[in-house]
Amino acid sequence: MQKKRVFVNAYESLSCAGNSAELMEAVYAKKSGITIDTSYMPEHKAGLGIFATGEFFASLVAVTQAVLRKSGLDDFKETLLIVGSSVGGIGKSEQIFFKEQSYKNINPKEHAVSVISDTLNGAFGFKESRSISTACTSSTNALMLGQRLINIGAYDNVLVVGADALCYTTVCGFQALGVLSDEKCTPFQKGRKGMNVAEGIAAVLLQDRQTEESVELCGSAGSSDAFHMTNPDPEAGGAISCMQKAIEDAGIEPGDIDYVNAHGTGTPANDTVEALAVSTLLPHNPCMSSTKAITGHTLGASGALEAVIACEVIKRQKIAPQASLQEAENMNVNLPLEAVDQKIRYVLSNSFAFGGNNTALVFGALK
Amino acid sequence: MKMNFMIKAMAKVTAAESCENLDEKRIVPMMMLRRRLTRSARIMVYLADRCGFSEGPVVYGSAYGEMQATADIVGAIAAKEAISPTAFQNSVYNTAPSYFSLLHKNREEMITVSSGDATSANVLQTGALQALIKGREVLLVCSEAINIPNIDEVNSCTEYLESGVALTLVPTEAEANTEVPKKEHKGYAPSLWAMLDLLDACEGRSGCVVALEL
Amino acid sequence: MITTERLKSELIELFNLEGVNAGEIAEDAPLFHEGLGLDSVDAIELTIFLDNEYGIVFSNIAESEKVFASIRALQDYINIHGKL
Repeated sequence: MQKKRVFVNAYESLSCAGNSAELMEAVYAKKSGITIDTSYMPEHKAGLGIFATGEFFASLVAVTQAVLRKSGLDDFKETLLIVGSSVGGIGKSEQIFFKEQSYKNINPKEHAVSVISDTLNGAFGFKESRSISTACTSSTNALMLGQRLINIGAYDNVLVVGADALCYTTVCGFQALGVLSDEKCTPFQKGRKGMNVAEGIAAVLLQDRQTEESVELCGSAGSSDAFHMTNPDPEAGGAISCMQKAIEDAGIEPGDIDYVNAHGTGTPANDTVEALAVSTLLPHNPCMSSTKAITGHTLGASGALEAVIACEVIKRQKIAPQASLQEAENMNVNLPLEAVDQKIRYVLSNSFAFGGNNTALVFGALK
Repeated sequence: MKMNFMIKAMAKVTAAESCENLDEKRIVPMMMLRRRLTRSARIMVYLADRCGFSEGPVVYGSAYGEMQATADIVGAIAAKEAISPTAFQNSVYNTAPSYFSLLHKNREEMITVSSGDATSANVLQTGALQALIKGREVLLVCSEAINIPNIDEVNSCTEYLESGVALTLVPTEAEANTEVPKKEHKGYAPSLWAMLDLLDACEGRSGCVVALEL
Repeated sequence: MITTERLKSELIELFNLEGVNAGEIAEDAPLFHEGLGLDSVDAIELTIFLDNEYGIVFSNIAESEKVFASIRALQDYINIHGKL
């Protein structure tokens, strides 16, 4: 069947670096939004990405409201909502349990991932909603499914919302795995120490109609490593596979990619494998950077948040530099230390998750 | 948008407390892998085996995910004890399909849906979409495993603390030959009902073709 | 002093090694990757266990790697450094 083209027509986000405009200023200025925190684990410092202000669920509604305003739609009645979240409402359950040592007052509906869509349906009334929860690829997979639904003409409007709050489970959990850094993360750096957990919200509107401001979501694909629950396949097979298939889905060649927004968490394992994957598949050495040096790792929200960044890079025709880099571990990848003005046609955005779940997206400038 | 799909295989399993006879040693002979499987993962690989499915894309769904792992983590934090990294890696909602992927060296797309009571309805929609896009048979599994200590503090309506339902489907040009009435499946978590409706409608018949919303 | 038998049965329980009995674990075989086939997540679990049960804390990964080389190496270390 003839695939309908898919356009990103409006978006907004919130991270420790602020809203989308503030985020891009921070990205190009290489100014990290990470703070060093001891409130979650008094005995361990943790580099975390924390919103400057605002209660999480109120911010969720505000970010979505901002997208509605920018979209020109009257409402979301003809829009499908697809949420990507790994944490859902665990934070509230934790607070109740810590206080009461009992589950009695935990509302299961406020604990589950669906609390995000329930909140948004309460505020806006979408045509229908679904929620995807695949850890760090949650909102990337949501974008992939949204693209496919518009491709086949099932929906004209899909709002993808990636949202993950900070909570003890993820902060202490990544610490338990030995991958949480006590400093601002340094993706692709030789001797890097680990990731920063962060909260994030990003809402991205996909539509079948093109506007002057559109960025195209040209392609997407997923894969599984089938290697280990938390360690990536050191031969990068899964990462290469999903990137290659996303590029094929976009109808372009690997050599057409001008910028890679990396998953780049700053963990020893991820960045080594990702650099290998990119240098293998894209030997023309396009610029690559991980903006998690600015935002931290927003887990389920990262796909949507980094989609916002990818779209902004295309609109501005300006490569995002790699912040916090002194010496790269892998000299075969091109990590620009400063922002670069250049012609950018296509951007590849990667997400890799627990369970060896990998998803890649390709965004393109309007021709 | 509705399209037609043939239901190739179906299975379900349920227990008031704990599903027995999940044939784990045969289905997962590698002990070093089997030892880490959560209840949801054991239910999922069992249902996939009953459906004769090991290769191909998967859509998994669970409203409540890995409750035991989450309870272990939060309990450890509350008691100021060390958190088990195994519990943390097993706490994500996509734990079960990930172990399935590891077991069968299945490198296809694995999507996990978690939409509360609408979970299995969304699994059907997402599975239908994936089958259409990939042009091949897709496995759909929905499960809940909430048999954890003190669950009765929050659960008053789900009688079967462990249950799972699975089917495989493939796109078809054939006419739909099966209506799927909505029913109330008392005792089952509501997150499973839409897929249970489909299983009931197709029970005892082969070659069922249903129209599914994408 | 901790016996080989006791250590093996503690590790069987810690790592949830279903159906494995102590006699099947060789004292000098590697614990990680080959031999028993434990992985990096098991290594962290073992580190937590040694701290909780025997008050053992390693100052760096290289130190723990030597100790984790085999059952015998682990047993010797616990008997020298552990609070028993």
